Amino acid sequence: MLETIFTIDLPVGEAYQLKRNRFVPAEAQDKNGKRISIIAGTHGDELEGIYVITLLAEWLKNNPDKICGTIDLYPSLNSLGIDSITRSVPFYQTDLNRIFPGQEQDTFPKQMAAGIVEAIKGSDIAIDIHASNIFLRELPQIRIADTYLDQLMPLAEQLNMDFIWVHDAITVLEATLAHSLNSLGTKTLVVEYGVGMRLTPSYGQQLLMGLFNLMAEQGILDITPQTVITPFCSTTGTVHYMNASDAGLFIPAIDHCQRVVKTQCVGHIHDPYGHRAPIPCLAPADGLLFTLREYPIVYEGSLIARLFEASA
Amino acid sequence: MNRQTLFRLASPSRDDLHVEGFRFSARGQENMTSVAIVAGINGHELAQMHAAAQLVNFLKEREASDPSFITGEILIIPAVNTFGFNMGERHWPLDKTDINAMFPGFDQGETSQRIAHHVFEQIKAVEWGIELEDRKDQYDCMPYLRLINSAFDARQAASYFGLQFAHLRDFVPADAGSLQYNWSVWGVKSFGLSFGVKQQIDNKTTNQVLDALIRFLAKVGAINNTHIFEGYATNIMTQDAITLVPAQHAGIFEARQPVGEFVKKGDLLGKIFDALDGRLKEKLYAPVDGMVTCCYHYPLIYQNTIAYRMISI
Repeated sequence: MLETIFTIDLPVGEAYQLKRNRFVPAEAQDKNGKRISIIAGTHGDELEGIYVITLLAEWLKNNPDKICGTIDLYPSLNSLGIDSITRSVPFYQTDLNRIFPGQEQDTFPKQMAAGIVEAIKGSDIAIDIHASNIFLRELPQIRIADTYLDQLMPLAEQLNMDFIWVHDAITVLEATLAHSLNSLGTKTLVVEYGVGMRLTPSYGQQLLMGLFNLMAEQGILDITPQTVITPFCSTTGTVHYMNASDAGLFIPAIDHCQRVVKTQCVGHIHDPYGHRAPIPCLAPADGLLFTLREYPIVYEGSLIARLFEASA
Repeated sequence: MNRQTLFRLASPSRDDLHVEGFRFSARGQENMTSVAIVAGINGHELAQMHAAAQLVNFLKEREASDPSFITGEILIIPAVNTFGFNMGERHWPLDKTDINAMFPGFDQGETSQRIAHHVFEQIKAVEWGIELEDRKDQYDCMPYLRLINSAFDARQAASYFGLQFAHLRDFVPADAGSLQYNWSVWGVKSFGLSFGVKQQIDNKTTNQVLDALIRFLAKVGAINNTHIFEGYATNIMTQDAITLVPAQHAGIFEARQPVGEFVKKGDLLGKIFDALDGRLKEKLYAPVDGMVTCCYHYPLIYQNTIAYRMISI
């Protein structure tokens, strides 16, 4: 059932609409009562989540007899951004995922945020799907603030992602949708993979299998649980960052998601004028390269890669 | 005056980013008060950069005519995000990150974290810190001080500026990476001075802010007393004193009251017209007696947007 949850009038002959596609069990079936919200498009340059929600919507439409709970799909929170390749909320240049829980009477982005929280709150589970930005390619991963580690880890392990990254509870992240929902009692996982402005269909399929498994395990879908990847977790090792030491054009020497050994060359930073010799970027440790730069232009400090070194 | 390049950052193709600082220092004195004034962290803060640059020029001229005029240490940074200014971008142009959300910075981090780090290293040990800033959204606001509740009780020192208002509020998560907040964490007595309309310069407001900064520098002993009006006895306002006037409808916004105007309950504040058929959709009236401190400043307005902010005593 496609619903318009709320609207905000725009100045010239248009309204912002938060649309939701809700799937519920047929009347005669037992209801589990659990409600899951699957969310994408907070950032207008992130398309990976829209793709997996599209696949899921098509499957649910063809398999209504398998639905035991309420499944809410929100593919396009920042619809103006998605339709204009704009990461933030257009006109306001505001990162929607830094202003939650928003406010009912304030700027347009804050109204959006308030309406989004109001729509999703009350869900038992939420999956907030992000691609990376246009600069980095990411291995399928889940990010969890350590505040919510105990309650979220069992769900995270069901989602067929390769990596679970547990991070400190950073104050600035209190303004994210995931924090707002978790603080309201909706167990919310942040999923991140792929790259901005593009689709990685294989990762989309991987997450789709994870969503099927999680919903089967939680009694929301009447299907056999899937066999899923056992993820590695950041708490069992160290995450290393590789930042550019100078400006230039970064050309990778290896593919994303490779295992590297310490001092192995990940790529070079070239001087477009050819004046300076290429600078090699060397792995700081043995590990798995789970993030690799996709956009070649770098300044000093631009993130080149992240790798995970497992504890001995 | 000593003009210094505080740091440089190479670009792949264009000129280097070089952040310039202007230092004024009394010679041969110890235990002087120290003040840092930073503007232009974002590339839309034209009025803020201009006010800081005008202050540089004022101090330079006064110091040239009277070598004892400077009695403390003053560092002024008129622009940090010069790349942003030069291309109309608010944030760091490559990755669109907000430098003013990156403080205290990190020298091994991303580019905008490194920029914040290099700036902060120059100013983290001062006694007083003033950040000149615009509003991120489309508003014209009277010059006011932003005070964040912290260990330093800024209420008395706020009066040194002689502005009409200071807004005192609690910390919110969005403050975590701002210069003003991180100054306070490092023990710097810090203020945010917010004014003007983003991407615009209004000379009257610039002069008000310039006067306020000169008054402040004189009051804290960084310059000799100079001939300048005392200004206002600053009213410290909290959220309770602020009344919001939202637009119920979207459309073309016509403001009928300027900032700084006293209005009575029921006075007309503005009108909203349908953008396509021109009909009047809404009249906005003052819900209370008070002063208009902030007015929406763009012809197109979204539904439920705050059109006016008023304060009442």
